Amino acid sequence: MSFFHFINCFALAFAPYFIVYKYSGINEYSSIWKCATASGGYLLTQLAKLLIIATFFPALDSEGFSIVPEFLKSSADIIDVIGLHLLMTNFLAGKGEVRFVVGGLGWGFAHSVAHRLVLLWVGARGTAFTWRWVQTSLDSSADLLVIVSLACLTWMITRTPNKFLVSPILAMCVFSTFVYQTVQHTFSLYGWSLLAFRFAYSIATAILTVVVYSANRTASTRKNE
Amino acid sequence: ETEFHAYRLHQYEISGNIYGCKNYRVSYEAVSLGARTLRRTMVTTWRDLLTTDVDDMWALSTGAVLIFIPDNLDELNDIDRKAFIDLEAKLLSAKTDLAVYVAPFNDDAVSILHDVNTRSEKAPTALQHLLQSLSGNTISITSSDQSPELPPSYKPLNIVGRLSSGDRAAPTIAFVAHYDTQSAVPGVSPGADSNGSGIVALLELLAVLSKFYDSPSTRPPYNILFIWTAAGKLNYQGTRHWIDEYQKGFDSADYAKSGLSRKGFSDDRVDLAICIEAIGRKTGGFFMHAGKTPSENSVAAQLLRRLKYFSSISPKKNIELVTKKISLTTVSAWEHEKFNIKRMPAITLSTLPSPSDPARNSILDLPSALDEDELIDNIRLIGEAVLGYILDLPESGPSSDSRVKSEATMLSKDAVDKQRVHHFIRQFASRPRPVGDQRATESITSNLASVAAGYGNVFKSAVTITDAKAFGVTQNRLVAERVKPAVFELVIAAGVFTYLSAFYYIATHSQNTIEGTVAAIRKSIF
Amino acid sequence: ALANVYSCAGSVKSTSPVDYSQLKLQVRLLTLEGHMKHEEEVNPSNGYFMIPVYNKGHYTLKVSAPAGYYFEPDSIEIKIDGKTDACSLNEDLVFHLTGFSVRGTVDGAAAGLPLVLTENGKQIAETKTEDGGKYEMRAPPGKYEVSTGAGASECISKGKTSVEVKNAPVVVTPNFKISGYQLEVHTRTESMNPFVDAVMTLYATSSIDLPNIKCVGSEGSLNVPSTHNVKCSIGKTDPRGRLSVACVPSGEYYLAASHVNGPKSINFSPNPQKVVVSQAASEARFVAQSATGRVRVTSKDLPLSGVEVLVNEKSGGKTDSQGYLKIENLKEDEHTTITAKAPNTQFSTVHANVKFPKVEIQDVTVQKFDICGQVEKSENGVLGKLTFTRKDDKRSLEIQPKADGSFCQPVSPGLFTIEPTDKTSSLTPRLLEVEVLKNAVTNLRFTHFKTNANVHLSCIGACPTATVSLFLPGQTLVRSVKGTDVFTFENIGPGTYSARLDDNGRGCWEKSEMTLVVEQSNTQPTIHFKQNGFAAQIEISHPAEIEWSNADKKQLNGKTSTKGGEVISICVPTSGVYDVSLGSCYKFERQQFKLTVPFDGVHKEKAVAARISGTIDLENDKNAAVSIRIKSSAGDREIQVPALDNGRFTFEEPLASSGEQLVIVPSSKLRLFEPTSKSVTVTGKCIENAVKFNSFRGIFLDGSIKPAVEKAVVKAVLKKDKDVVIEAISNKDGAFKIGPVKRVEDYDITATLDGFKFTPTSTPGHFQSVKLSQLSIKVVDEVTNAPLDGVLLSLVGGKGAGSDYRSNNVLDETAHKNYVALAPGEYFVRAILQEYKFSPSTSTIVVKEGQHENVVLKGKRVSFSAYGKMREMSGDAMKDVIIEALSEGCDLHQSEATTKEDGTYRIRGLLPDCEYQVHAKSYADGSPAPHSFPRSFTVSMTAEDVKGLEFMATITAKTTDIAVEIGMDTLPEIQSVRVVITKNNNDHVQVASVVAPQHLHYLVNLPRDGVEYAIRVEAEKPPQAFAAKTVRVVADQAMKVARVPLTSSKRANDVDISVGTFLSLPFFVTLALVFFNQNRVLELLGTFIDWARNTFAPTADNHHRKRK
Repeated sequence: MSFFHFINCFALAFAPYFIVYKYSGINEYSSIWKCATASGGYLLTQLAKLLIIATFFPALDSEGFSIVPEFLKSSADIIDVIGLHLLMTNFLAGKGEVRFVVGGLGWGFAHSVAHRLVLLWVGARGTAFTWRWVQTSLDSSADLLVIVSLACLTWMITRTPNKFLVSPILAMCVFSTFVYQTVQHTFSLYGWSLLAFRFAYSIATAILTVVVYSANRTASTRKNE
Repeated sequence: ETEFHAYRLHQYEISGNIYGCKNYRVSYEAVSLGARTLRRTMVTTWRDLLTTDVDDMWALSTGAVLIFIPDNLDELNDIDRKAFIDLEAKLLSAKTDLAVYVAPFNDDAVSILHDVNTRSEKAPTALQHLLQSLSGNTISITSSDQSPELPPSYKPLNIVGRLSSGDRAAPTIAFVAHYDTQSAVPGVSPGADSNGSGIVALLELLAVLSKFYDSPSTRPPYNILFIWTAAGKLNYQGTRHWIDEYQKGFDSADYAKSGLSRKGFSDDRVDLAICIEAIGRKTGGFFMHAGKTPSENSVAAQLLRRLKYFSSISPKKNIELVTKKISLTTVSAWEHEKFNIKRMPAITLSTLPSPSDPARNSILDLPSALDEDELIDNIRLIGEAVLGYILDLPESGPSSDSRVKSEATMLSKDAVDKQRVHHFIRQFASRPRPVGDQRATESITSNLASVAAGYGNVFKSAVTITDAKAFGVTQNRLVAERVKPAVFELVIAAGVFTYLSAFYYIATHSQNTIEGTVAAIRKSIF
Repeated sequence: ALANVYSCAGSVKSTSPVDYSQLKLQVRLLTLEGHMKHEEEVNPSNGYFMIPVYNKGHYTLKVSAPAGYYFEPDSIEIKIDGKTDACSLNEDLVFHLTGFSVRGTVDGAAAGLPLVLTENGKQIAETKTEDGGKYEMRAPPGKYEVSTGAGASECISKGKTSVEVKNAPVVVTPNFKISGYQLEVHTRTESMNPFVDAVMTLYATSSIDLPNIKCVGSEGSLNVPSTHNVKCSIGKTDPRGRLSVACVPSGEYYLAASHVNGPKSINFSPNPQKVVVSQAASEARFVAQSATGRVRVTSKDLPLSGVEVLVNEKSGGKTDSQGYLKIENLKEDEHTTITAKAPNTQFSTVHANVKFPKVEIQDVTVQKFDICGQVEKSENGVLGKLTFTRKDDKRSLEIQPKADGSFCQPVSPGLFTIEPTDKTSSLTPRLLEVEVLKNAVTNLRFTHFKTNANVHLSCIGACPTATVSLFLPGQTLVRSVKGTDVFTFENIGPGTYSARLDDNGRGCWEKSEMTLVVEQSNTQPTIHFKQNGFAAQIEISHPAEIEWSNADKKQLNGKTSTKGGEVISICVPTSGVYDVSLGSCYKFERQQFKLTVPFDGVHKEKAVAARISGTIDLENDKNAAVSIRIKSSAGDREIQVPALDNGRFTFEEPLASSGEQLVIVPSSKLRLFEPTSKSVTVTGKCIENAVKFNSFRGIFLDGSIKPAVEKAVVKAVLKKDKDVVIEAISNKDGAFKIGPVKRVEDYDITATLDGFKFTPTSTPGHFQSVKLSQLSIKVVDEVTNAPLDGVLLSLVGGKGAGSDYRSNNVLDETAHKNYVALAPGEYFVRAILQEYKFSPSTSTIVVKEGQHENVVLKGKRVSFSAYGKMREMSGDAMKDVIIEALSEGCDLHQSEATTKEDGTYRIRGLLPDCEYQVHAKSYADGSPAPHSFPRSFTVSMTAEDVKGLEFMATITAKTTDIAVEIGMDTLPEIQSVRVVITKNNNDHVQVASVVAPQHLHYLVNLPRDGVEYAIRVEAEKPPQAFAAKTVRVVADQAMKVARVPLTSSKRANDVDISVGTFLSLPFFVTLALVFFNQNRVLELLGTFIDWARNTFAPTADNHHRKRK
């Protein structure tokens, strides 16, 4: 509808990242540069992922949505996990929590920029007013939660003995986009209802990660004792 | 936002005076009926438009009007039908600079109308009004203007089919029918009867009579011309052009292109030109319109007597002669007047009692309104009469002797074929083909030529439109976007701010809340 | 207008006087289908009838009379075509009342008994009785007998009764009764085929009096009881081996069969047979057992006596002096072979051909006699072959003697000449005559002799190459030698030869053929040929004198003549150019021509015209300008006779017109010629004095007619020659002038004028005129009194003078007829016109001598006609179409008419108050009628003509149109498509390309015959924007619409989940596992490597372990 609308949406979409970075105490532990490396890492993994997907799914231009190929495609997100793990283990410094938060932040920021910036630039500036752009911006904050919890989980998976507890939640995070698509198609959720679902889903994963994190925390302390 | 198809009000200019709406660009905010429409698009349903007085609206200089009409015009009940006809009359008489569009009433229309109406209502309380003015979205309608203007070099074609009797001196009978359509909204009116039926009648007569011209023994001593004239609704340009060419001996270049020898049929002596218009409705007979009552042994009089005789037999029909004095200045009422002006004998056969009959150029003139059996009977009646004339059969039946009885009609029962008529109607009388729509005109002329070529030999000639002007853009794609008022942006900004501040609040306390929860969980669970 | 009405007239005649009046005889005209067209009663007084026929066509005429009267012929079939049929030629159709019926019954006879009506022996009629014995026969008046027919198994008692037929049917009374019965005799051979001509004799106790049976007293015969002392011969068996005797009175008989034919005879069993004849027909059977025959031995028809004959290889005895021997007990179908035996001869074997009753044994003939002898070998050891030639049929046989030179050749009897085959061989004797008729010849001998011969040529100048050939008498070429002047022939055997010289016509020789005699002497014979000039071959088509002279040396010339049509060669002393000129009565293409000698080939000259000449004896009358007119098929020619050489004239006639007849007519103003004209046939040859006329001065005759009659035409025709006619017109006082005439008597002079009779008086040229009686008849319409056109007037002489006078003629529109020179007496007049009835129908008029009678007949319109027209749509008339009016109501009365040149027709004779269906029946030539509008008119006739029944020919063929709707709007990017239309097994119909925005294609006027058309729409340019689609349509209705929807070729491709994609999940999972527990993986890897080492390199390891 107007440029002003674009600014709003832009802010809505990317402000949370700055806020988290600025005010959740991360900036004391690591610098902005770490986040940039995380974003770079994200971009590299995305590149690798695209290459691998290209080999496995030659005819990619199908319109229809069918469960099995989508599921397989989203399984490519495991590579994100690997990428994240590599990123955190040897590119980031500092305590575990710092690493996975920074990794998650950088990764999430890069993700939403890749997905949403262009979309917003094109759509939001159009004259017609639709709520769609606002919804996509809100989406980005939901994604932030999911990605941070994903980072935390990938961090924990290598370090905790009870992998069986971590891996399902990790799977939840990894297959989040797949879940969104199936839900969108099967229940034909659109607009605000889809947004609500995504928030619910990300909050659930966040809580679970926290629970798992806490469980992990007790185990490591027990180990230290 | 939604995108839909809309059809523009007619626009043409005949001998100076302009009719219909002048321009076609629309990019204004939609507003409901009654509100100020300067630089606005007034959106209304056809019923509202009828009830309010809109004359002053037409006078405005810029802006647009969007009228929603029922999308299935076939199932209008009678009252609506009469109302719709009034609407048409109103639209026909309108002369305005606004871009007037008509669109079928579907669910997009509903939502647009709803928004527009709510927008323009006075909110009961001040707060609601404030709220309304803040967040109520306004609809802006813009036209995509893809279809181009009419190129100046655009000349619609006259299609002339000819069945020749072999010897040059034979007299000629000409069947004439204009093939274009016109109505208040040309883009939406297929013009099935006002002159779809004319085109079909000529095609069917060509098919039936061509059978006689195959073998020399059954070839009547008459040439027969079938002329589908262009731009008939624009004061019969095609007819005038053909007559000029005919009388001038065709030295115009267009004919050379059409591969016809220069002489063409300029030496054909046209005994009678029979213009056919609108004979597809169930009116139990039709009228013969002529400049003046034809003299006793003129061809027209003979034809009338034969028509009366044949119509007195099997399917009871009544044929009446209607005479109307021809005015040289104003627009010709009937096609035959163009012939009479140039002192050529001609008549028009039509079920329309008068030229200004509302059914003539009406949007409701749909293929479903046609009565195929009535059309077939009319075609067979005209065919019998003309055959009787050119074969010089005794006028009142094969034998006048009282003692002698025999069958009267020459054409066998299935000569006029029901399936062929149905095919012609579906192909030539069911799609709007205003002279303004170049693509539709070219499509129908090429198809008409292919039929005429099948049954006889065909000639085409490009018609130069004189002292009249047709305008293109008969239809357009309109895009209706829901636009929030600019102030609404501030609202959004506030929303964003609140959200971010909440986020800030969460982020700052996230660390300790998470640790707290972790610790709580550890204690509680493990 | 004059409707062409044909009148079929004739009469009913009867030999015996029959009163027709109370018989009510009627003659009927029927169409082939039996429709009654017209009925006319017969004139009671003279049986004359006349039937008008209004349309050409096929009809039958029948006499309808009460039962019992028979007419010959009972119906006459006529095909009226206006020219050749009996009616148009005014022949009389005669019905003879030939016979009356003869009826009666035979009491007690079964059905089928043949009865016959004979008139003193000659059979007139025959019939078979129906059940109950009733019979009926036809017979002309006369006296007859009725008797049982041939082959009747019973006989009637009185044999026959006479009956007399006068002029009415007659009944035979009293009825007949049955008396005698049938005897049937069957003879056959053992092999079941009938035995013909076996003689039957019947032994009875008393003689039988039956027509063709003769009985005589018998002195008894082998095993026949003496009581039967009467012997009757009852005839021979017929080719079917049967003999039937009718009317044998009942009783007991003995029957004997025999067959003797010269030396041959045949015996039967059982012989004789007992036969009993009682209530019904009886039967006797014979079987032929065996036969005796005779054989003859001949050699070429000369009998050989004393020759032994073998029958079935058994000796049957020797032949007598005539060469015959008798042989018995020959059975039919037995295979008996007969032959003869003698030294050095071969006899033919013969089969006895026994086919009862014939016994034939052919003669045993000599087939071969032997001829033997010895041939001496020639010095080079070659055995010369011999040729036997029969004298009678000149057939020759070549014999190769055996190694020792001996030969023995069997030949059929006859006279032979034997000579060595190789003419040049020196075997002698050269020729030997041998006669082998009665017996063989054995002792012949042949020996050798050889020498050379020479031929010399003396020619003028260099001798050209020529060939000399030696011929034996009888044209057999021995040898021919080519050379220039000396020819030698080596090793020629003795004999007289003729030597022929052939220099292919270049030179003239004294003799071109000489005889050369070779004898058994040692000198070599030589002959000489002498050339005396050069030859030139000329062929002249007709006889002519040929004079030739050397072009430059004129004195070298010569004359010869030729009869024409033959190639002659003229001998000229030196070679060079010669002028040849032809003198003949024929005109040649070239009368003179040049010839260069010598030249090969033949110079041809063809004659073109022949000269014909004749003379006229003018008694040297100089100033008689005589001209001759020659009339021929090619037209007449006039030639003047020159006055000087006494009237001799010649003219030429082209040969091409040979065989044509020319008539030569001399004419002159003053002279007359005798004969007046002569005809000459052109023979293609010159004719001298073909014709001779003599002439004399003519005289003029003045004739007169009293009492004077003006404008009488007088004609004088020469009796002998009808061609010469002189005419004159008599003036008002009856005088006229005829001439020039030689003798008046040679001409017969006649004068004629309508209404007058001129009788010649004694002096020729003068006439007596008599005004004749005249009868003029006029026919008018009763109502309007206007003359009726086309009336048929029939005048028949009644009793009194000229009773057989009869004239029928059709009057023209004046409807007026003058009968002149009618013999006074009573006449019947009758007028006939279709649609009119004249009252009274026949009226009688009495004509008196010299009287002028005037009769007016009034006709009333009875039936009416329908007028109409038939034309094509284009306006031209349709001629020769038969339009028929048929009314079921008035018992199928039918009348038809054919449309004339201008398409109009008039159907006549339609009866009022009948409802007619008027429609086109067919074309005149029988082909089916054209479809027309309207199909038919229903006309209910009233007493008034109907006009304006106009038909119009309309189209007949039913057609189908196909419309192709191509769904091009679904794929806007397609610019043009190609439509291919084929029918049943895709033979091509049409290919068309349809360019957007056009999306329709029409195929019009296809025959509606149910053929299936395949319409295929494919992309025009290579980029296959859409899949080609085919739609099938059957042409069985007026219009067929073929919708061809086009679908884009990009198929929505479904996501193909290949195997590879399934691998992706496990791959990712393992990748993750590997990544996440690297250390465990490393350990695992290490253990794996150790394991691999100790399995693959055990020895080193053991060694290593041992050392530890």
